[in-house]
Amino acid sequence: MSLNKKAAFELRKAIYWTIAMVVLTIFIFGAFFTLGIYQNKLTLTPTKLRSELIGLRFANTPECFAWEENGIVTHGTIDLNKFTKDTMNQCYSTEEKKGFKTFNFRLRLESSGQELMTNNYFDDGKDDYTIFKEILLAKEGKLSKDRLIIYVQEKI
Amino acid sequence: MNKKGMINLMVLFEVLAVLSISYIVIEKATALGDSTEVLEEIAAEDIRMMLDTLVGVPGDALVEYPVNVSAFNFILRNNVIYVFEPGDAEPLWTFRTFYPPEGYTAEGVVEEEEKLCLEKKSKKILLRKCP
Repeated sequence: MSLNKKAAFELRKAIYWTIAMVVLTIFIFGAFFTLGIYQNKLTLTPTKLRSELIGLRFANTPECFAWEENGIVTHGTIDLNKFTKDTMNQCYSTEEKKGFKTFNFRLRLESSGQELMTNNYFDDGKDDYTIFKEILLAKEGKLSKDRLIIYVQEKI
Repeated sequence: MNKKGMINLMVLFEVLAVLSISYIVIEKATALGDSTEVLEEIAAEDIRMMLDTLVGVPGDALVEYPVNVSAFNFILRNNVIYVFEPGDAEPLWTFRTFYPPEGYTAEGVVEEEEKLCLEKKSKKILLRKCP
């Protein structure tokens, strides 16, 4: 009788240790996985901020669409004559093979509906978010109020 | 030892194991916050955003990175910013790519300087020690 009790206790001990080892292993993996996520969060930069900073160039630099007259650049403007695919490629262009892994943009002028896309923008109607910029549109030497809508794709 | 004592010991072991692992994880997490890898990643990302901002600003500009970066070296070449500790092999360098408009060049080296500056002159961006 006492031998059966002892055997039963040893069996319970073995089961306990098996369960304890499994639970501890899961706990250790979980802890280090959480640590990995924490490390990523420490270095995380808001992607909207990054895309806003890239988007500054569209209406502020003459190499993009900003209106320039007599060597003076007026920032916050879009020159309609410059709003072309060639200028877009000069302004912002990413690598052909990996460019889809970074920001890509579709620009739209609200008044005319004209659109331009960056070279790796995937035109499937799915954008991550939209940025709106109040701008002045330069058309035939005249400035008028308009809005530049920037559709952003972060990564495909 | 009797059965009850054995059971108490097993529970105690489990609790001690969990507490030890928790302590190690918390210590590691605290150390991560000050680790050089994390600081390198943050510096590289910050400089990339500064480069994008400089490109988006018309005219010439000079901007200082307001952090003591004397622990690191920086290289800006071929539109990539590299950040690394002195003596690190190239595969260990942290890097970030940025995409300036056509015609822009970006270059410069800063080694173990306290202050780092980015200067834009026309279409040239220079990474250098602050004046």
